[in-house]
Amino acid sequence: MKDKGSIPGTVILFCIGLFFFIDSFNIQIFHGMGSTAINSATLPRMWSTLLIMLCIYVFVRTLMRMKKEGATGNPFKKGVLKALIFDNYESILSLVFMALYYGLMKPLGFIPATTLYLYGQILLLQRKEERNFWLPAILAIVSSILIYYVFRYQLEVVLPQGIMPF
Amino acid sequence: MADMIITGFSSILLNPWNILLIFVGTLIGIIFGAIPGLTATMAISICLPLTYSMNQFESLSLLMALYIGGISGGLISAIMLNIPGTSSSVATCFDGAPLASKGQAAKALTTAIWASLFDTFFGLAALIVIAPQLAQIALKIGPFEYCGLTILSLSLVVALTGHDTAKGIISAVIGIMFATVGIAPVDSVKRFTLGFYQLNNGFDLLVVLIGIFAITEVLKIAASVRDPNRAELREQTVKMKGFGVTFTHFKRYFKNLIRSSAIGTCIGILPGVGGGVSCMVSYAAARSSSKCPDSFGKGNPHGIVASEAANNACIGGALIPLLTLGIPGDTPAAMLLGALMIQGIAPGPLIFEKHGEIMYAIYAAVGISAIFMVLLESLGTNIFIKLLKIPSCYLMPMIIVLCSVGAFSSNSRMFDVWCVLVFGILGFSMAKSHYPLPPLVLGYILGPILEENLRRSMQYMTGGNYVEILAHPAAIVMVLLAVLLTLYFVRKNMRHEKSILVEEQ
Repeated sequence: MKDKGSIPGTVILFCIGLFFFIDSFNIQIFHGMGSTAINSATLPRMWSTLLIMLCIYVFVRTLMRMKKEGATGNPFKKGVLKALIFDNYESILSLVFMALYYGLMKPLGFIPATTLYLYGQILLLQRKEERNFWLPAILAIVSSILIYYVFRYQLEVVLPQGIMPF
Repeated sequence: MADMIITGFSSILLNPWNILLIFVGTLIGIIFGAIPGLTATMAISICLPLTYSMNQFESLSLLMALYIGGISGGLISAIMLNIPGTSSSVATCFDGAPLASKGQAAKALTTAIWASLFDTFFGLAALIVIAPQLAQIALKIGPFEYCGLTILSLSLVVALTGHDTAKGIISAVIGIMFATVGIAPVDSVKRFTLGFYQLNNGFDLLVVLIGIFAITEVLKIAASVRDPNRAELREQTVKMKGFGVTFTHFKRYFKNLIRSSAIGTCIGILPGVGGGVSCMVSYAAARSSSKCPDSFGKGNPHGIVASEAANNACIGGALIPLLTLGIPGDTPAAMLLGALMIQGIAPGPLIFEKHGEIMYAIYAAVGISAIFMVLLESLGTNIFIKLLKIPSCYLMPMIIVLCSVGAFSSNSRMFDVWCVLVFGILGFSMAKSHYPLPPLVLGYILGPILEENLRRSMQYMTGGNYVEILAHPAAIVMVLLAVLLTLYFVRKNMRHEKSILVEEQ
């Protein structure tokens, strides 16, 4: 049931809309000369209200369609989340790897962090039957040094040095 | 005047050093445009110091070539990787990548390359023939007209949403909401910055694009690792013959080319709008006027033509206000403005009188750069296609690293790189939930323009002076057109949903 997959995304977007709506009340309004009926908070509040309403509409529509098609099971049951994580663990792990990569880039430096990230990510994206441990390692080390050299010394982009001496 | 024409053209055409600079500049521009995370603006800013010791003609040759190569290079990664190299190539992904995945990467590339050539010359022709007139029109466009135009462009979101209008509008609104982060226009109050000073200027467009497209693409590939049906090596079923396009192709795409060129040029002359909007507006127009709109997004070459034609025509359009008024049309043009001033050239209405030979030299440089662009990209087509044979498990992590470097280098801070991750999570969640991503980008670009000009328009109407809007009939027409278009597409989508329900029953 294709529409069932809309629910998590819709909930996330609803929460984003709610955040913007609530935080729009913290925006300072300018009342001086030149102020108009439309101030800094008007449009954000309007757009976030529209967003919330549309998310509710899509959510209700999805539930109605699921009911019509006789979809079984409660989408919010406990086991569903576990299944969702298991089905998408490669994507979740990829996000974790990226977060670790960005977190370690400054303390370790661009070259070590990139090497570790490339190695881990390549192994994660490889199919089990094609698994190779040496080529990703060589590729990770060579690529990270090459990219660092080109960007740091040729294009003069100051990348984090970290523990490296150059 | 004849002297200026001869001096301008001969300084470029008869000087091998300038020709070499154009060649090198185009090549570097294409490389920067093709790598996600690097942009034409970056290419120009890196090479700008090199031009300090050059004369005016050499400097402009190099910079114009970088500009053209940079804008055009985005089509390569858009088609091969489904990641736009620049914001001007976002719409090229919609049909370029599906066509490449069907084994027709050569067809997609050659179609995009030749559409780019045609429309670079279209924009150049507009620049040469009607630059002063278009500049006068650009001067007359004020906040009311900008408001009308952005409302009209946003209404085209409905044409980009496919058949689920609600999800498309949600996607656009999300983009608009994220664009409100930072300092508000007009009164400069902070909004949604959560105490982070890094968010005072909002999110960089590059960060949004990399997150939404590149990270999402990697996550999608990660999600399909265990899928036994995942096609890894896309065998190319269509081999390129000769130039890759024939006169028959040209006739087939001619109407689309002209329409997209006109859209690109007109949007290009509007400062602050740029290639990102022109490619999507042109794509939406091509889709809505097509006899088979459902084929768009599945590898229809017309989609590629519309996008690439508009973004290259936008170059000529962006140069018009730059040279004739001193107002840059987009960010690379802003860099060019700096370069012109460094060389002692003052853009403005008197540029033809004071620096006429420079103007003609620019025309010549643009023309030659476009030819080199076609040659380099056509010759490189076979190399680009070989990229498809690199397993995704090796290619995509490398792309992520390059994108991360690109995001870091824009402001030299890790904050932007973290934002890439956040947008990547958002993009992946939306993609998994079948929300279209193109409206998000369109909303992100157009939202601030709409808000700023709407508030400026309101300032004209303070004190109850609502009659002021009647003095801007173009704005009223555009808003009415937007309403009609929205109703038309919503009705069309509702009919389509109804027909599907009837078929299922």
